[in-house]
Amino acid sequence: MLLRVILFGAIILLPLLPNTSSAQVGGDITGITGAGMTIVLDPQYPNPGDQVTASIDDYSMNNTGATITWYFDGLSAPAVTNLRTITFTAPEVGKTMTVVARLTFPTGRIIESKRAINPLYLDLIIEPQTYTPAFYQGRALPTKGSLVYINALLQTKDGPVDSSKYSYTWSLNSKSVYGGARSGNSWASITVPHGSASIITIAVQDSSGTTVARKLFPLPAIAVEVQFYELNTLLGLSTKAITEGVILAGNSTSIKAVPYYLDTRAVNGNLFTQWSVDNQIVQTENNDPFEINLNRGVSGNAVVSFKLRNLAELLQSDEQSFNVAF
Amino acid sequence: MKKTYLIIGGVSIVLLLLAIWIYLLIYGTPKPVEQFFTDFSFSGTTENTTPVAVVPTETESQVDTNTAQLRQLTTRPIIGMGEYVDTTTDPKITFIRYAEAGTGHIYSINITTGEETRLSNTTIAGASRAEFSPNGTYVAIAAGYTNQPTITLLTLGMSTEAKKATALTQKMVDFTFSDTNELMYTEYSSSGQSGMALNPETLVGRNLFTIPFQSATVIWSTDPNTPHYVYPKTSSKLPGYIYQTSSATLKRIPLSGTGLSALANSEYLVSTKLVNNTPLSRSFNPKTGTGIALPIVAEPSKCALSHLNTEIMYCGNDQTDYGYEFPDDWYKGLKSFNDRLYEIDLKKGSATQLISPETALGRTIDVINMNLSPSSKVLYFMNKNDNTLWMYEI
Repeated sequence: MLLRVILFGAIILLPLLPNTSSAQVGGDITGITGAGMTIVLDPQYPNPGDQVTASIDDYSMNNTGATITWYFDGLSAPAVTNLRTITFTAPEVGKTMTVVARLTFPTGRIIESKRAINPLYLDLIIEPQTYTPAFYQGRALPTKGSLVYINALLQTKDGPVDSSKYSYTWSLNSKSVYGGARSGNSWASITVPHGSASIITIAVQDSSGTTVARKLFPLPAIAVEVQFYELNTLLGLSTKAITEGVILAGNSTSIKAVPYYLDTRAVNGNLFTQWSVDNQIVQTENNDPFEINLNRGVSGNAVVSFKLRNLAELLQSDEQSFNVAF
Repeated sequence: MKKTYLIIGGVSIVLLLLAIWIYLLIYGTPKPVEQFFTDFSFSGTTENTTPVAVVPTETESQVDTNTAQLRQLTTRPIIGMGEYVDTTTDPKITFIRYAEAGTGHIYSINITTGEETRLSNTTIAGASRAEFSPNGTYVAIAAGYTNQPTITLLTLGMSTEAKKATALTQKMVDFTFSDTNELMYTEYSSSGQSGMALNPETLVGRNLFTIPFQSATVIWSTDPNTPHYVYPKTSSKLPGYIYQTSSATLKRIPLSGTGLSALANSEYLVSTKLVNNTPLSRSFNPKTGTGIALPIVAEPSKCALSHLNTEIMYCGNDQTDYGYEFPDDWYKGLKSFNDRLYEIDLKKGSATQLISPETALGRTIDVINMNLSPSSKVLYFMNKNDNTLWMYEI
């Protein structure tokens, strides 16, 4: 009776283990027993606390009439008996979980397969090298042709590992970035390819060559985005973007075009910028090509446009406009 | 002398006296000459970028002294504030000190009388952010609109006078004061950022922690029992992870996701991330590993945790669709919120509305820089729409 209670409790509690949604795993995958049968995990290297799907892969053998029993850390899970695919929660970092699938045939023959899951955190810190204004609290985003720095932080329960003791293999869209695994290479500089998204893959091996963690991440490629802000001599750049036009209350105002996510190498470099008012190109009096002074003329309305293109990377461009009532 | 001359002279005197009387009737008594003429001084003030300790005291009384629970404290745009209680008086007097945007001038408001006094007119051109020490003695002011502004440390007098202004040499990325009045800050290093603490008296610094990446947001500890946390700057399109920092290492907290942001006290981490393209907030207890979903979006800049009860948090929140671009579009100033104030129970996962500014005052407030008085009885925050200072008595 006591054993049944323990087993039932284990089945109930397993899915309730703490769940983290995106940290990565590592996995110390140990042996597999049983002729022709394996346990397939999805994800292959789950994060600590992740929901993991385990399936029996026994296509090469005839298991008609066999009973399937699952064991977690030595305790059977009767609620999932005879299920070929089960879902459970990966253990927290620093703890190992052993999953066993046992096939018992009517003849009494038994075949087992075992997987040991020892999750590690593998975090990809993505730092795009693109422009955002000082007041912007968020992170810059990658644009086509811009640089992205990626730091792979592999962590045990004690904190980040000594990266020099591990080898890192970086891939971009299935092509190796550095030609293969490199010891201590936990940091990568990648040029964002053209296309809406690219897949970054990082695999980490320990000194024995065993893969301990692997992670895939779709790297987005965002378009350069121009937003307009009023510029005040005393207060600096307004933090509210011009979304509904400008009403020129005084005699003049200054407007700044802010090029979100423009490659930082281009901000002071090879750029084409152009202001126009009612489709007439205007030459600004400012040294700053992103700034325009608007002076009151006769009453009416005007459409002010700004065009931007990075001449070193033509896909980094944008054109936006706003209305001025004066 | 002819009689005619006497008559003419007398009439002239009468007319002159009459003219003087009419003039005084219309224009009043004479005033100092400087009130009749413009000051033609050519010494500019806003261009002065070198901080100079100044004395001036200026008393105004332009603050709304009504005692409504929710009230606006300034009409000027501000860049930072702190509450200070003068314990030398009986009864104790509570003052609000704030720094004016663009100039860095420091003002003090007597909460009881509404009297406003200028404590410092040391002009710091381009002043964009200010942090006040808990003891009311120091204020650090960032100037310039770049990622590495110059920092000036002002030493304030207890009553009316700025004693000293020191231009700091450190290139600070982020800064705040600790509960022990140390100036905590981060600065870039070759591999990321370093967290430091500076003694404002001696200007001697010490290491707090290191961060292995540069695009970082620090959740500064505000009490001895809470560690510093750090996470990559929030982005709706890139993943974030939370780490507990110490001088020796980082410890990963099992919270991660896109659009990740957080705030913390000694018991709870309150995190927000995008789930199915919708921002959702949770409270998480790192000691027990348990958490609960919250009924509001807890953007860190819009929230403050109680100093008296670790299970209580106050937030500005708009009951609207935040959208899958949040908080990026809000950071850019493309989106604005009509916030109400809530009290949130982090243990139960419940929220109680305190007030709707729009209903109470007909004002739309997009709350930022929410903080709580040391007594946890007053909420102070700024309205992002005009950077004015507000208070709400709980």
